[in-house]
Amino acid sequence: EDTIVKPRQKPASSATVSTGNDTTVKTGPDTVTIKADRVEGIYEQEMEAIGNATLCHAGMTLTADRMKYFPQSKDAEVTGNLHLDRKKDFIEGDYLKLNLDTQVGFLTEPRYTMKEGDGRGTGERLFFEGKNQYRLKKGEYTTCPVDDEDWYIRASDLKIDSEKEVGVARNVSVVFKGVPILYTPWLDFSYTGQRKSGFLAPVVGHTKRSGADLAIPYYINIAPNMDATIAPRVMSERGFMLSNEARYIGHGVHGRVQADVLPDDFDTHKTRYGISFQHGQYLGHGWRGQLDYNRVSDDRFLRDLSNNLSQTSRTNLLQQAGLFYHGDLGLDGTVSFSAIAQRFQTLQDPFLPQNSNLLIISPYKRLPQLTMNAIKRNVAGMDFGLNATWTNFAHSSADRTEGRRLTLYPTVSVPFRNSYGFITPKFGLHYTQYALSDNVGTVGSNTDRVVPIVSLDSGVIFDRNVSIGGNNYIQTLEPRAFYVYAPFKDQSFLPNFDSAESDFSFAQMLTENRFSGHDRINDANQITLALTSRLLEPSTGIERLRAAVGQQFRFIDRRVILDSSQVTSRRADFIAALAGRITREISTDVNIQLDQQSLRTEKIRAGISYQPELGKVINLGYRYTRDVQERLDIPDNQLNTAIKQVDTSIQWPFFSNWHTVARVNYSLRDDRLLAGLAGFEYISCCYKFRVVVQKLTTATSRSTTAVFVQLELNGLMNIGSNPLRVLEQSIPGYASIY
Amino acid sequence: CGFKLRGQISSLPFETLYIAAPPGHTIGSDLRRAIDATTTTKIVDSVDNAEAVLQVLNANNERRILSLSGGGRVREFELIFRITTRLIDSKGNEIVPENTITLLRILPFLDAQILAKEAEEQMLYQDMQADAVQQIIWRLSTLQKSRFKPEAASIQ
Repeated sequence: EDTIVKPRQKPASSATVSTGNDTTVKTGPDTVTIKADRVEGIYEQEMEAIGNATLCHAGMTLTADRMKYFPQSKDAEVTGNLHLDRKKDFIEGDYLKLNLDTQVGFLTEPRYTMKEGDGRGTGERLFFEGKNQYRLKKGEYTTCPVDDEDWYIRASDLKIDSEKEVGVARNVSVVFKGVPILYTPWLDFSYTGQRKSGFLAPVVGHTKRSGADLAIPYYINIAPNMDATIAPRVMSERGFMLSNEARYIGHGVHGRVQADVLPDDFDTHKTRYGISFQHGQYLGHGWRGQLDYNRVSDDRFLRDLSNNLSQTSRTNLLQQAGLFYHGDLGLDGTVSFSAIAQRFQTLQDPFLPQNSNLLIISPYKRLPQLTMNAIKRNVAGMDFGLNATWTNFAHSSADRTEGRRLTLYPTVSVPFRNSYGFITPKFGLHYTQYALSDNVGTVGSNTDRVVPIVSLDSGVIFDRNVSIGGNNYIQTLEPRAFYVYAPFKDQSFLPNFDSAESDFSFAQMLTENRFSGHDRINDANQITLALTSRLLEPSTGIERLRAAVGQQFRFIDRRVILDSSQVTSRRADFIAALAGRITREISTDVNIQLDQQSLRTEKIRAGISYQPELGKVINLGYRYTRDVQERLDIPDNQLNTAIKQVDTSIQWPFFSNWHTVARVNYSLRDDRLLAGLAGFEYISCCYKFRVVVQKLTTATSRSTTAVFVQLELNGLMNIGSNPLRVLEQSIPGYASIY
Repeated sequence: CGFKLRGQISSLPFETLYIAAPPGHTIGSDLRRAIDATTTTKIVDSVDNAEAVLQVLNANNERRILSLSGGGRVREFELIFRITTRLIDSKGNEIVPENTITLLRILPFLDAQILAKEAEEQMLYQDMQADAVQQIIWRLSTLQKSRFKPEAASIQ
């Protein structure tokens, strides 16, 4: 009863037929409006529109040369230059039969285009199957533009749900550049790139360790805050592997599970696996819980199967549960607490001989460690602090001393401070008590140690306005002096659970104890002088450039040493650094440490970056450490593994659609490539093609090469594991430009 | 040579400040203490009483492998500390848009020293956090009072 048929004003020969009370157009959801050059028909039974015919109904506009409409059944029969413009898509064809009520019908010679996303295609016949649902027989689908069809899929049956914006195809061939590259009996996809379950772009490759390698990840969208990826992987020299990753995030909760299983390795004939589980949770009122568990079946699991440097280089896998608290202690105080149970799975270099000095001694287990830190400030002009730690140290090896250790370190300081300077005298008493499994030296299994520590920290800030190269800056000058005194206590009989000499740095030279951990407290009578100068942008306060020098003067010969442990670098006492942007495009970070007594360079870290714009960066780096003593208890100089490396990396779009990242880390000392990585990505309007080439050092005198290729078809496969991402992480200054 | 004792930093362009930092993170208390001790601005414990609100949107630690040994083991990590802040006034108007300070330190590493290196890593993160706090105060101190109080600017 809502059918209105209204002819165009011209030509005059057209007839007027109306089912309404008058010729005024009533618009409603079921209104059918027909316009044409000429309209003929039988009232309320059949009408035919001829020439430039247009039918409008429920947000849909149909134009054609000729159409017949039956108001009672609401059937339409349309031929010639047929265009159907709907809310979600645009469809063209030759002959259409459609019921406007049920939206059921068919179309010959169909061509369809989605309005969301770039999806479009053709087929032999299109079946309308209700509102927003249609199906193509012998259908094709692509997201490429009409004249530039780089890829398409061909399916015996292609069902499109334009409400959910998804497609389901059966008997699918993927054709790339005219060549069929993949067949699958079934494929479902989101043509608007929405997060949904489906296949991710497969990764094809070859590695020296495992041969030809194919992984086909499948993504499962479990809930808006939870997903999983299952990746079956086949390696020609190892067999079938299954990788599973699940992630979740919620209010104050986040976590990730990764489980990889290789049920029967062709090479080792063993079941191999890797598990990694992280969970973090905010418990409210300043409390936080955390779980981190990592385990692999064997020392070579990550070296053999991972292509990520941060995996292949791992030696100690963390297994830890922890509870943490941070809160206020009155107005000017804070208190924090932590309880952890921690151990590691230590992976040895499989190519070292059994008795090698380079085998890693596994670290102590802390089962558990309880720590409390409290600071209370402004109590009668004084600041009070307390660090208390209790730890039960255990070790898997029978010849290592185990035991429990309690340390208490109360401190009091009297800060004097104003806007331009400060002076802080501080006194602390470091108390440690051991209950050990073995008798140590002459003191037995129970022993304690008390070391008083006195320090005086002071600093002043000057500033001025300067003009450099026509730009105005605020330049600061910040001298600082730090004096520390701690008497010598013989500690050579104490075990070493968690101590090492901290590396010399600006941060380290302004601390009271040159050892980290609590088993060694240094003997000190020394003053550190440091001078920092910064250039700040006057309008924003942003630091542009910083230069700093520091020198430590010692008035005694140090006698507290670490026995039978390892140290990275020693003896430096002068340090100089320059960091920041020299020009808008060039930035630098240079750090040099000298041993003044022997006038030797102990350490150089020099880097320079050129970044003319986002997405374009070139980094050059040089790193030198004269001395890295792997084992201090072994005098043999062969164990000195000094660092002398150059490291260059680049992110650059070389041709208009080519995006390149590359990194070369070369050891001048060993004359070998430690890590060489290159990735290329071609980005077209409807697909991305990636090639990744890697060379990694995985163990002593062992390196591996890997090549991976991935083709990602827009609007067909979700972005999943992208082999380029691993490389991008190792490029400083890398910017994602997409 | 033109250097003078710095006094400007003591007067931030607002008298009261509320600091909104992630709960359970030490950055909030570090900022509160540093601003309280070195400036005349009063730290308040409610947004309603504050002339300005410093929002710490993010404070993250990350570490990246920097150097490898000849045997493919890590010799140095690069520690990265990123803090993103934003300054708004009591009505929620943005004074300083979201900006990020990124700091880097090198942690020399030996696998056998993992427990000791954990403590050293913490020391370096604290050093970076203290540095970031200082840089945030520098940035706040350069703000023009007129930008902060539009009505004061219109009088001029």
